[in-house]
Amino acid sequence: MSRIFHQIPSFAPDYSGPASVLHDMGGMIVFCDVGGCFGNYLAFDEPRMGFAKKVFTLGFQETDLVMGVDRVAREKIVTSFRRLGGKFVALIGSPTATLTGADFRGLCVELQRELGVPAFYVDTTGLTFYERGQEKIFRALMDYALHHTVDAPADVHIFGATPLDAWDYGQQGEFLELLCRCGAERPLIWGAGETLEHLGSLDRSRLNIAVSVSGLRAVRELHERFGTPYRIGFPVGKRALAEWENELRALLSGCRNGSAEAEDCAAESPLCGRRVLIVGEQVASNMLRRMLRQEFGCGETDVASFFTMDRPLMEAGDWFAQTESGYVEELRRRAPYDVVVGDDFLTEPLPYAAQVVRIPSIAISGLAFVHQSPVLFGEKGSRYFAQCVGNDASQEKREQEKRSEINGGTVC
Amino acid sequence: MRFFSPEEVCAFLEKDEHTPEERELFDSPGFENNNLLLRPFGGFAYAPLRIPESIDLFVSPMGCARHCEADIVEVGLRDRFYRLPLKESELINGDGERVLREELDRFLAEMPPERRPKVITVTITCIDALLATDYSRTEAMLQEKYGIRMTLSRMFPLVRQNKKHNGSYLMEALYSAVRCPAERLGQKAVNVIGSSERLSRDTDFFALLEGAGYQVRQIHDCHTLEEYDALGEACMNVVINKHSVEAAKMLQKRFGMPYVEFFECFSLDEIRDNYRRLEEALGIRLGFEQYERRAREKLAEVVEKTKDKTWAVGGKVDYDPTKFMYDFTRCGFRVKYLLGKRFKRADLKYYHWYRENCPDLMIYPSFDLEMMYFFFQPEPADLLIGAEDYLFFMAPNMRGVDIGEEPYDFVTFFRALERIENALEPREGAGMQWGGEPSPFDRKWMLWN
Repeated sequence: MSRIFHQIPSFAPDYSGPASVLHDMGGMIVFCDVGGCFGNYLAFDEPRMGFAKKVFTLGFQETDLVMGVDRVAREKIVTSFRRLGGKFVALIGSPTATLTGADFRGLCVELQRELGVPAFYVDTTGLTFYERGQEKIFRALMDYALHHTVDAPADVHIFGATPLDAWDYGQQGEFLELLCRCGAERPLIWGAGETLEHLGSLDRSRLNIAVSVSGLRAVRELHERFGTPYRIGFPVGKRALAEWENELRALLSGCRNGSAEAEDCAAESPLCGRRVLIVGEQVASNMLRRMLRQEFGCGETDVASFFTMDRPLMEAGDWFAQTESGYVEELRRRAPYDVVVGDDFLTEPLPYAAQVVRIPSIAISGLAFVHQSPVLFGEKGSRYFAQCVGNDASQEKREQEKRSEINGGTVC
Repeated sequence: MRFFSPEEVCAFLEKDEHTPEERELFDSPGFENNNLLLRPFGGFAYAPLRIPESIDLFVSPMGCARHCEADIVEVGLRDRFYRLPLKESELINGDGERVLREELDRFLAEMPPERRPKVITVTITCIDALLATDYSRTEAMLQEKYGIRMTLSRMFPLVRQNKKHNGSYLMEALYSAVRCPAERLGQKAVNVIGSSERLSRDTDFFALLEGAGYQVRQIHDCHTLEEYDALGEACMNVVINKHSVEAAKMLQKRFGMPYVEFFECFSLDEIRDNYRRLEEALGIRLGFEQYERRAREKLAEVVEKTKDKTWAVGGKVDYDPTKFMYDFTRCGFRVKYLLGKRFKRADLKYYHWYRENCPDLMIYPSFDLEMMYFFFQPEPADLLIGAEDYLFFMAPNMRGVDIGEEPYDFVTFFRALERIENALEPREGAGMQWGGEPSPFDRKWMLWN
C-alpha cells in the first residue's frame, strides 16, 4: 500500500494540540522549533488570533543547532518573560527539537526556579496528529493540578473542547450553560480561559467529560484514581440535548426533568434507511451518528478516522485509515455509502457518487473553510442536517455531475 | 507603545559602543514579535511546480507540509503535489532515503508511462538539513530506470539569517533542472528570473527588449520541458529579486550566462539605473524614456492627490522595509510611521535621510515582542501600505493599499500608483449583511466578537 498522499492534506500536527489547549490560559507558549511549526499553528490551526497572545518561537538558526540550543532558549525565554510576564511557561516540541536531543525538561526545571512559575515541556514531534499532543498536555496539566490541589469551586471538568475540534467560544458557552442548568456549580473547560489554579480541584470533581478523543485517557484515569464519573461526548441534535439534560440533572442534582421527548422526524427524513459514513474525529462523529439514527432514521452508519480511534467506542463497521491509498481502498471495498459526512478533503477522494454533507474541520483543512464550519451542538446540529439533506439543490447538482463524470469514465 | 525618532535611531547606530540600557532599548532582546510585517519569501511549496511537466514530492515529518498544502490549494496546483510523511523510526534510523526511493519506484511503476512526470522535485525540510541525507541514489534510480530528472528543493528556514538565504536555495532548485547542449548556448534571449508570480508581459520591460529583438523568457511561461530547457539558451539573466542572485550565479557557472541585477523597487531613479545597467550589459539602447516620463507624471499626480493624507508603512512591499520607506518618502508621500525591522548600521544612510527629510517620522520596532499589543490600539493614519488590513481591525478608518504586482519597471510602477489612486475612492459600506434566523455557521472565535 503506497504511503504517498496526494488528495488528502497533512492534518493538524501534534504540536498544535497543546498550543490550542494552552492558548487562553494566560501563560507563555514557546515553540522549540525553527519557525515553521509555530507558523503552521498560528496560520492554519488557530482561529483565535494567536498572534495577539504570548505565543512565540525559539526560531532556531543553524548556528544555534551547532552550538547547542539550551543557552539561547533560556536567554530568550527569561528575557521575554521578564518583560511580558505570564502564569506559566510551556515549551512545545517539534521535529527539530526532537533531533537536537536538547534537554528541554531540564530547562523547564531551571525556568521554574528562576521565574517562579510552573514550566512544562510537551515532547511533541510533529510526526503525529493534534489529539496526541493534547493528550500529552492534559497529562502534564493533570500532574500539575494533582500536585497543587486548591479549594477551587470547579466541579465539572471538560477535556478536549478546542477549536481544532470545532469548539468556538459560543459552543463552549452553550455547553457550560447546559451544565449549570443541570446543577453544576462551576463547570470548566480545560483551556478555555481557565488558569492553572482553577484546575487544582480536579481530585474533587463531580463529573468529567471528554468531548473528543484527546480527553479520553484523562477522564478514564481520573475515574480509576478517584472514582469520578465521566461521560464521553456532547449533545448533537435536539433529542440528544434532551437526553443529556436529563442525564446530567440526574448526575449533578439527583433529579430528572420528565422524559426526554423530541419530535420524531425519522420517518419523513430523506436519510431514512440510508447508508452513511462519517469521517472525522471519533467522539464528535459518534455523537453525530447517534443523532442521524435518532432523528433522521439513518441505516447503517459507520465512522472512519485518520485520528486516534478508541476501540471501546468503535462499532462493528467503524474503521481507521492510515494512508490515502488505504482510505480510498476501504471506501471502495465498503461501497456504496449513500451519504458521506466530513471535511471536503476527506469526502473528495470518494471513488463513487454519494451525497456529501460538509463539516469542515480546522484539524483537517485548517482555516480555509472555518467560516463554513457548522455548530453541531444541540438543536443546531439537527437544523444543519435538516437543511443539508432536505433542500440542498446544489448538493443534488454536484451528485449528478459526479455521476455523469463516472459514466464518462473519468472517475474510476 | 514605544517608538523611535529618526534622530534617536541615527544616534544609536552612529555609536561604536552601546550601554546595556541602549542595547535593551534598541535591540529588543527576547522573542521576536509574531507579526514582523516583513515580506515573506513565499511560494516554497508551489514554486518548484513552476518547472513544467513536473510533480513535487514533499518528504518530511507530517506537520511540515501543512502550510504548503494550503498554499498549493490556493494557487490551484494540487494535482501535481504529493507528500510522503516520514515516521519517527525512519528519521532515527536514517531510512528516509530508502523509503523515498522505494515509494517512488512503486508509485512510478504503477503509473502508465505516458502519465509519468518528466521531472520530480523532492522538497525536503529542516530535518534533512540536520540529517544531511544523501538523495543521489534516488536521483540515479529515477534517471536510470524511468528517465526522470530529479531536483532537490530545500525548505530550510533554519538558514534564513545566513548569507545564503533559504529563498536562494529554492530559486536554485527551480533552475537546477535546466539542461542545454553547448551548441544552443548564447542565443538572443533574456531570462527574467526571481519573481514568485508570473510577470505580466504587457509592460515596458518586455516591450523594450522584444522591440530590440530579444526573446524574453520567464519560467512561468514554460509549459513543456523543452521550453524550460530553452531557458539555458539565453545570453543574459535579469534578476529581479535579491534571493535569486545565487540561482543566476549557478546558471552563469553552468552555461556561462551573465546576469544583471534589476531588483524590484519603488523608485523611478532606480528603475532608470537598472535599465542603464541592462543597456550596458547588452550593448544596446532600449529607449525607456517615454515610459519613465509617463510614470513620473503619474507619480506627481498621485502625490498631489494624497498630499493631505498620512501613510503607515509596513514591510510587505519590498524585502526591506527600511529601503522601501526611503523610496516611498523620496517619491513625495507623507509617511507618519514605519513598522520597521531591526536597526542595522548598513541602513544608516536611510535613517540619515529620514532625519533630514521627515524628522517627525515615528519608527515602531515591529520586531519587538511588545508590538503584539500594537494592533489593539494602532497609531491612526489615513492610508496603509505594506501590511495586511486585517491586522488593523481596531482602526477601521485606515485604508489599506495592495499594490499588486511588485514594481520593477515603469509600467508596473504606474500600475501600483493607480492602485493607490483607487484606494482614495469612496468605499461602499464594508461587511456582509445577515438577516433571518441565526446561521449554523455563526461562530465566536474571538472573545470580543
